[in-house]
Amino acid sequence: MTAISATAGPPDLACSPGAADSRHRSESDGHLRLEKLSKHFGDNSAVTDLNISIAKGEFVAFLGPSGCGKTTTLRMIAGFVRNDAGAIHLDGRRIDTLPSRRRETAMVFQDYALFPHMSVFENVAFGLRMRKIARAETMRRVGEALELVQLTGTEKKFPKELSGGMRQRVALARAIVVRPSVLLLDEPLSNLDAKLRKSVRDEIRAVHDQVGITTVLVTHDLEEAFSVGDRVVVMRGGRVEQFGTPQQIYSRPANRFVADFVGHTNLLEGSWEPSATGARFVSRAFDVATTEGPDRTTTAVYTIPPSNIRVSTDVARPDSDIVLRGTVISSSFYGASYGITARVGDVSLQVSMVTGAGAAPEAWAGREIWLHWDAADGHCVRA
Amino acid sequence: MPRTVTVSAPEPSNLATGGIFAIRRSRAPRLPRAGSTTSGRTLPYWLVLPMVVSIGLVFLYPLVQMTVSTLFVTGADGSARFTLAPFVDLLGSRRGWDLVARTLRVATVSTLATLVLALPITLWIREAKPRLRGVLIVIMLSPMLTSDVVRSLGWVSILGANGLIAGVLRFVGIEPPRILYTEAAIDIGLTQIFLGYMVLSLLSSALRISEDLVNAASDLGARRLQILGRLVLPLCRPGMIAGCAIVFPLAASTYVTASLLGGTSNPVLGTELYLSAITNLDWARASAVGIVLFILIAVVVAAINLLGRVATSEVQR
Repeated sequence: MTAISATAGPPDLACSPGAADSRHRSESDGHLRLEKLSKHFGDNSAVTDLNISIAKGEFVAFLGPSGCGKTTTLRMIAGFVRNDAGAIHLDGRRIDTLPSRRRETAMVFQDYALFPHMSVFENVAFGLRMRKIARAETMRRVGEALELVQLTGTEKKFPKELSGGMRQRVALARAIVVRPSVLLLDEPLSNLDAKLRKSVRDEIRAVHDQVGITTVLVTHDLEEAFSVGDRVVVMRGGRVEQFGTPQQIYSRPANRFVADFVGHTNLLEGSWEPSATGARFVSRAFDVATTEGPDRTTTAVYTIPPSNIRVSTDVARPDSDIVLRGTVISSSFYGASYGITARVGDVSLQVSMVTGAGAAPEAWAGREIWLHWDAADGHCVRA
Repeated sequence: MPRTVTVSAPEPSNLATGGIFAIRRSRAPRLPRAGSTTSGRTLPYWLVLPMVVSIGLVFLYPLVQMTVSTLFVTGADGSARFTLAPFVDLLGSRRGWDLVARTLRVATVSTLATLVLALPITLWIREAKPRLRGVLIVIMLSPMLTSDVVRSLGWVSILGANGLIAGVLRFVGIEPPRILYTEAAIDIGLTQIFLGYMVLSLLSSALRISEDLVNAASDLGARRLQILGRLVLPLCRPGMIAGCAIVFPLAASTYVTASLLGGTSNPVLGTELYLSAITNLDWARASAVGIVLFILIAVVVAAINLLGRVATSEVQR
């Protein structure tokens, strides 16, 4: 379904996801294409040289901290903000020169922006009315849209009478009823209670799957982006740090910022040197060979997910690519798993162990253990 | 003599309440917490008293006094007699109904005129960037810093037979029509004087329309005119209703503007009241005029508010 496009992150990262994805590189233009998009407000550069290609029917999440430019990008796609440079193409046509009402995009706003003086029916029918759709068909399509978001029967209510979750679904219905080419969602979950977020998130994904519409969602929440997005754009300071599937981003973060942002807790400093067989990551605690690497020695960071570190209390040295000797500082029990903090030299490592027969990490404080993993379990990124 | 402390609820952390009366009484009294002493409980009423007294003095007393003076006449023998004569004189005469009709006309016309003029001004201020907006509002409201007497005199010099408009028309060779001392002149003066109130009232509604609401409408395909008609104007309705409820009473009670711009041939209830009270010293008639005007305004404003309640409940739901 998805065509993975070329551009993703800085080009000189040899051990980067761009290289890994390149075997899927396709020449399709993409349904929605952002080309060299830039926008600045005064001296502040909000978005710089953005190049993203989204396939038809794909669900892409723009993820990043506040101020990274993701909302500005969304509003440029919608047409509320004029881009200073670059172009936006939809279905091969250039749309950034068009006013928002002619762009075939529909947006669900962060605060829903429902028309307070209109009923649910009139809100959802608004777009159809603007297109002069006949009454009978309007009623049919509004009914369908409300059924899709499970709000049948609320037609006569007014926004003030609805809960946050219901208003959100009305906003969603209002956007999809006009059958846009692209659906835009601006932080749709941030105004909802924590309890509601998961169910509404699933509903949004379900609507997307049912309607098959190209969707762009903007969020600062990692879990939200990873759970709904086919692919995720990680942004910082107006630039794309990485563009790939959630799995790619998590297992092969492009750089330290992305690794840290997606929750890699074990980030070991060191340097990355080219070698005869490719490259080598060198740090005080250990060395490991990598298949790809930079051309010159650079500072780098090695990331190993807590769940990938294996622990052994045996006397014998384990037989893995990387073996370290450390001391357990603390262990915490989380029910389904244990979290262990171990010190190796001057570095702290977090280990996550599934609760199982035999292991009793709660008694390990101060104990010396082996921490080991294979080369494929960890990943080095440019710092 | 230690103050007696009344305990409302036990609070062990505070010595002023709780059970330690014996110790409490031997110490110097501290300032009582609000609600913890008898005078504290009545404190709110004492604070409201000045306002009650002043409203009573300035508003209620004259109203009552006016009503009494018009409904009762003191005969030569000093005794008071109930009579409706002033009302009969006023409302029974052709002049009386002429006054009521003209008052209603000028008030209605000027209120509607302020509404029509204030709408584009408000929308223009709303479109402007925030910094410019502040400047525009100040410019718009600065005439309200001068009294309506001064502003009415200003209109005299513009609308008069030798005034600005007449001069310009004569310059282009047109014989200027009579504007001053007609009812139209009163309409013009009232409209300009009360325009600021209507703009303020409309702005409070208009500025509450968020930019995203307009973006949403545009995103769904609405053109500028459609956004205006289907979104902005309906959402401004509360401001329109409130503005009318403010401007109508002001316009209906006019006397300086009506007398300066309308002259003696266009009297309204306000000018009649002044004439009766100050010139003729006929307090009974003046009071009757005042009461008729009061009732007239009250009825119209009640009607406006009723209209508003229906409109507002739609918008705010």
